[in-house]
Amino acid sequence: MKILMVNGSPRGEKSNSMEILRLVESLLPAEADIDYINTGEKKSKVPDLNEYSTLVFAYPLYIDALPGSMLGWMEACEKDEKGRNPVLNVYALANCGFWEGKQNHIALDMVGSFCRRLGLTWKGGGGIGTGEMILGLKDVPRQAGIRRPIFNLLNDIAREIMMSGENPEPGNEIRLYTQHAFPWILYKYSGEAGWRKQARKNRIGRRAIFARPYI
Amino acid sequence: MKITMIYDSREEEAGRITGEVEKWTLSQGYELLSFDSGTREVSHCIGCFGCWLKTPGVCIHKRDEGEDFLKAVISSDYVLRVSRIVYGGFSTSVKNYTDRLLPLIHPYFERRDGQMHHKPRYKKYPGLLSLGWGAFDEIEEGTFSALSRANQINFFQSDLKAPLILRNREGEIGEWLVREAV
Repeated sequence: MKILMVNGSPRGEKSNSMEILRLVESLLPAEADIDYINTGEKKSKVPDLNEYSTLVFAYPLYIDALPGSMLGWMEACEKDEKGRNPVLNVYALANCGFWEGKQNHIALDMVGSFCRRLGLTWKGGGGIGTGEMILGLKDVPRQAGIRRPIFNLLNDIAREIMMSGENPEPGNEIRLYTQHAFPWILYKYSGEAGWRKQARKNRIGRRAIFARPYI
Repeated sequence: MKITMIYDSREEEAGRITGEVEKWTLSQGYELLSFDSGTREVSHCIGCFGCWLKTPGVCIHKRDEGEDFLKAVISSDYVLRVSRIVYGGFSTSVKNYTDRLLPLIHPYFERRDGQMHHKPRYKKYPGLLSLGWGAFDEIEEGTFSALSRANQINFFQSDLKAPLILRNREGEIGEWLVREAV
């Protein structure tokens, strides 16, 4: 089984999306042969998708859809004839900074459409909310309650990848949505406190965060 | 009324469509500011959050049209995104311009439409209009409509405008603009 992990985050290696791909890798058998691509890198190439049995996208939600840099890589795949592999199983894992994992649904639909255009096999995927906590909780044990919904989702996806069973009927692909086991209101308050802390490091005070430079 | 339009002149249909929009806005006496992502690409958003935490409201990229686009958008009554439909969304060059609108939004959160969204930075925002063509199938058309709606919610609109998905019927652009923008 040869797997291509495609990180669609413009932040590259130090991103929540890259961490999601590493977590998926850790849930796959050690003998899985895995290559990585970062679409945010200027030199990211279009690979020969015929070399792979599985492609896993992980990416952040940008204005309700895919980041522009990831979209550019996908359009390049579409233009390149090497992208047509009807037995390539494609999975997508979208994450967003909002609490609700379901807000990623359009971004998942878009990968499905990419697959239909290129004649790839769209298997489905998952949408993860509270995305900024993925790296933030990296050192917290996986069994911890707060992380459990995320690992349940990633375990389900990893299991699907390994089984690579019958292709789903169009419209019946896997769709899993979740977020960390952390209350909405606490996520809001802790997220905003996090912004203020980072802003202070840049000597930006509470009021300055509200600047309106283009009035 | 002031409208900011973003399109990619490299797209085959773009010339005809933007020509019709220009003709319509002229006939109405409206001001139209056009940005062509085909001749003036912007750097893609790198997700650095500089526009929230280093230079609030201002993007760190200074060497392209991004800032001019932001200024045009926030001072307009409507923003019209004209794009070939790609996987149910906008094309790469138009999406790169869209991503660079993040400085207009505040990092803090609030509940709207039953879900978490970012708070507004400004008191007033333009209406977001989307015009697309070339969808692969009905599923992509549905995704484009859903995306148009989601973007409008994230850009603080309560009065949601339907996107125009072109099917090459004569006069449909003008009719849609009258229905949604006037």
